[in-house]
Amino acid sequence: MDMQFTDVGGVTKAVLGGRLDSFSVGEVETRFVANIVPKEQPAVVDLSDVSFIASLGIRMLIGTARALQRSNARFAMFGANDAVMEIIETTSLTEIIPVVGTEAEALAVVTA
Amino acid sequence: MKPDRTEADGEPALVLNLPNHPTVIEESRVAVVGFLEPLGVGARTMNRVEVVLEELISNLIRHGHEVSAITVEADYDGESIDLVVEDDGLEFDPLAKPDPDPFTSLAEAPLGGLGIALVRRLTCAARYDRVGAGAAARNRVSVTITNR
Repeated sequence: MDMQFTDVGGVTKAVLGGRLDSFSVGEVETRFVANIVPKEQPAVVDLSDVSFIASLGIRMLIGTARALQRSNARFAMFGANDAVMEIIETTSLTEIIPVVGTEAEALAVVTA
Repeated sequence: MKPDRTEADGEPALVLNLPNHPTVIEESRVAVVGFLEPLGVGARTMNRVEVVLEELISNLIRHGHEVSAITVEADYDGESIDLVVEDDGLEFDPLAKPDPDPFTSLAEAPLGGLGIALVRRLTCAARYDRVGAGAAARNRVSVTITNR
């Protein structure tokens, strides 16, 4: 699993790539959280290059969004392909975390 | 790991005999996808198969007790995929765990129990059986996923 982090005008942007399965979550979760939560600023996650997600990946995203919420900072995701989106919707993640199509939409959501 | 394939009536077309080790999650995924792909299983269904298999085996590895051997079986009849995951551990029914309560906020959202909920929602049938007796007793989880 690949991860990159940048700052887009006061918003943390994380780009994930590869499979977000139980093995890779174990490898990347600590770094993912550490690059987002302590900054206490809004964050968006680019899922365009994520090919697979399972429950531990969903749990990582919920945990990170919840921790960020304690700083009153918003969290959104964008660019999920059909396979990833089906799993996100099946777990009702869209009820609690905005999942939109584009980076611009995600940035608008977290800075509104 | 060498798949044991058989075409005999009543026998699953793909059988994998695996040790209890985290690497078997990926090994079994590659083998099952390699078996189903040439049979015309669509990408959307294949993703469901991969998720269900991942959830069942990772759940077993994390929560099973005294598991030394895992068997994965896969079969496809042109309409649906049957997956069976068996283990030789102590009696453990992963499907007995209820789905997480519905949630509408991050604070309410569960951090656990999502995997088995996914198995239920992505399959058209899922059941647990304790099969065999004594030292040969095994946990068996059988699921069916419709190809669409």
